[in-house]
Amino acid sequence: MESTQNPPSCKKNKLSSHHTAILIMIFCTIFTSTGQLLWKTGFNQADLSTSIMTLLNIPFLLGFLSYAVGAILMLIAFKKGELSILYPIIATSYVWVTLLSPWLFNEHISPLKWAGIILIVISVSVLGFGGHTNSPANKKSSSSPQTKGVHHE
Amino acid sequence: MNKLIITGIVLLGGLLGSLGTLLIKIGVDKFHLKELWKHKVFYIGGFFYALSSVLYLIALSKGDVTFVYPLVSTAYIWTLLFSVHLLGEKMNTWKWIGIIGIILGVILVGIGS
Repeated sequence: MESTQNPPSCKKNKLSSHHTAILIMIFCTIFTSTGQLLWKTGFNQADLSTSIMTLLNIPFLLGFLSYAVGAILMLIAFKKGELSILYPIIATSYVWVTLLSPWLFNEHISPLKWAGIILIVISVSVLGFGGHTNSPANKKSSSSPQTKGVHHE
Repeated sequence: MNKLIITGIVLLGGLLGSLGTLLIKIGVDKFHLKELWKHKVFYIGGFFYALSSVLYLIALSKGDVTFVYPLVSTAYIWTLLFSVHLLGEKMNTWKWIGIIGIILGVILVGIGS
């Protein structure tokens, strides 16, 4: 099933591939942010002066798991979308970490920080709604690549 | 550790992080997800990405979030250049607005910390 033509019926599929990729990427940032916060908690809990094994505490290990899930989601998202859109969406993790920090680490959110995360949220929405272009990445069918250069090393 | 060295570390981290994700994107486009583990590009990309995270951690431990975050946003510019010139991705007005907005947002979060 070659996809060099783009029949009109396929256009809807490609639009949702772009949007799906963005949604998956946002979920990915939730997991990487959770991982980061769990690692921070884990580092605080560990007593490195006694032994580095104290680092293998539950928050640290859960953080690892969280990062792993995030990484898998990122791979899936990358398959479906453009790098120029998905990479900036990684910035959404600043939003999650900023919103959770006061609650977890007693840090205060300054007005500048609010402005920053609001700007990030608006920008991600702009990328989501307007960012779809006729790039090669979007011209592929959303199913797996077929005969095009599958190499074996 | 003086600011110049920290700046260098973050800028290097930004470049490596961008390169790493570029390689991963190339790998993911070329191969089936389930076969990704068989191919070098995935491991090299992952290594660069992990290395860039370590560099960021070092920079953040020695320097201030206030000036590290704005420098981290250089990674977005690298990715933009790589995507357009190496991957053939196209730009439009909305993408420009979105990407610039995110860079500014990251800088504001940094300065506001």
